[in-house]
Amino acid sequence: MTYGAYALAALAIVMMGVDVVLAVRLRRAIVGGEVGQKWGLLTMLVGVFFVGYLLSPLALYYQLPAEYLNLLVFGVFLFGAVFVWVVIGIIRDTLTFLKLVR
Amino acid sequence: MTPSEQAALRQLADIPGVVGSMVFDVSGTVVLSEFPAVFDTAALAGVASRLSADGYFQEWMGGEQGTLDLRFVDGHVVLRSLGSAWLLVLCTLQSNAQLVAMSLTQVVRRLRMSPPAPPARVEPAAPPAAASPLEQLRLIVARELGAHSAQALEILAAAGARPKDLRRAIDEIEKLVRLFISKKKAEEIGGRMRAVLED
Repeated sequence: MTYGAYALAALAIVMMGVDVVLAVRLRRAIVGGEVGQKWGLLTMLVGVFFVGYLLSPLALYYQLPAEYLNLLVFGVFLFGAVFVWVVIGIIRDTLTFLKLVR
Repeated sequence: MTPSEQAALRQLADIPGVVGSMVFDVSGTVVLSEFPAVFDTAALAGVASRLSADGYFQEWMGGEQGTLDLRFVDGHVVLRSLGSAWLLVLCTLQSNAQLVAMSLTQVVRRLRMSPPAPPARVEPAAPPAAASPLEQLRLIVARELGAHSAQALEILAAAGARPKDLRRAIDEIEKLVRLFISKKKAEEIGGRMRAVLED
């Protein structure tokens, strides 16, 4: 069970690492504007997630007390919600500009 | 074009490694050229036109001190601001950069003493008075957005010639710039385009 958790953490770290690279590359390619600002925020959140992911195996290894683990989980939930909110904003801006919303 | 201006460019051409040079104004017109005959004049005019229409180029090369060095695998392009026009020099890799820089200082001074273009032609913001509103809007878009103008020009091309259609196109372009380029630029370009329609 523990090994399964470590394997999942490793996979998540690799995937989030790739996401960080992609987000930073796109940030450099975007000229600016409101979409550029939102993408900047998104890139920052991806960075925060990546740091959290890197620390997650340590929480497992050192058997972090349940109350701290709960705090970590709900923190991730909160950042995840903000992330989704920013993504929705970018998609809404783009679709509205392309006149693809009813 | 005066003999002294042409002589100034010839002075540059005498430097080993300098292939040719030209002076172009903000409207993209080549006002002086000293390139070997093998160079396609239309291509040189195209380079001048594209550079002068680029917003970033105008920003970087604005004023009297603007300088831009472009290094390529097989050549080197030096650009210097002449105030209301620009000097472009094409060099090979074998050119002596210090010698070129020293000569450029002299040539730029000589060219500035006798401005190559009449003041009316080098006014940056004023599109030709006789041009249609659509043409003037295109010009503003090309100048303000430079390399990022393609989408905005497409919006203008798809719009009709009626003021109502153009107003709608301006709103769209302003939105495009606000979303994907810059809020400040959106306000600027929107204001300038609406001023054209009001005129």
